[in-house]
Amino acid sequence: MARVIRTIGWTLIVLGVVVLLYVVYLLWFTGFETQREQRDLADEWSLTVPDDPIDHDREVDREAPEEDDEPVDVGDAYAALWFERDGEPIVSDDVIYVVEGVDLPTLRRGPGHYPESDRPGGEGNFAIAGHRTTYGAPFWSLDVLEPGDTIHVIDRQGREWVYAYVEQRIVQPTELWVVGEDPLGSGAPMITLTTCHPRYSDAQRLIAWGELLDDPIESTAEGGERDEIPES
Amino acid sequence: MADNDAPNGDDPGPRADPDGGGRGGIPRWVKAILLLVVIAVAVVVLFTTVFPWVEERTQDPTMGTMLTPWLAYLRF
Repeated sequence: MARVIRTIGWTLIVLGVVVLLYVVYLLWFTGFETQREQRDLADEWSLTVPDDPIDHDREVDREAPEEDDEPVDVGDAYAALWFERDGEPIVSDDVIYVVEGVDLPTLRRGPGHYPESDRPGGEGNFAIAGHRTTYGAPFWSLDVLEPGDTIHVIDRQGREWVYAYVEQRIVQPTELWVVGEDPLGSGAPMITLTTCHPRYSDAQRLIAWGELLDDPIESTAEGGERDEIPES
Repeated sequence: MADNDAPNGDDPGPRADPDGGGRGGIPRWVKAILLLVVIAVAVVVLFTTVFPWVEERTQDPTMGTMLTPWLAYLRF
């Protein structure tokens, strides 16, 4: 009997160590996997997107016809994304490459575009989901956005679209309206960013919205205390 | 200290066995292999079933997770 108990005990100890190692891997080492995937996406991007895609001074061209948009395979680079305040990067120091699709294996490469949502610069809602803790945590600091910040997106045609950050909310995972056609009822073309909330959990979702601008704007963000994020 | 070692230097009795197994029992090396197999199977199950299940319920940034309310309470 004692031997059986000892065997079970050792088995549980070994399994406990395995679980701990998995947690360490999930929280810290998955970032390396995503870094490598983002480098691959950057290489893919440089081959498929015309000209120099990451040009912050590029003129916005909203006249390009929609039929230019070819379907993108799930997991392929769909857009490039970054955030600015007063011309300085926020949320992420690097340009984030967005992939097509939002299933969990796809999101290991980077934030994903909801396939049912609109394209960048479209008249509807361009929605993106990204991890907040694991797999590089691209949206770890999404909650730092303030009115006046800008969200920049470059599509596969090399066009840059600039969105002005509007607001953020904490919602339940089942509140699908946040990625709907016109989530805030403003009628304006939107970008919606969804991520986990709180950090290290996905019990809720943190949602950030931006409205499409006709032209890039000078950021008017100023320092100071941030407003509390409303819960709906 | 093995289970079949007797305390205080007493005769360990009939369970003593140079192969490490009890009289008529399974040899120790077979038990060790069985233990390794059990651990290996457990690790495979963890990584192919349990961990992905946990990840899906703790690291999903997308909208539309239609968990039943009672299951939602289990989310951490």
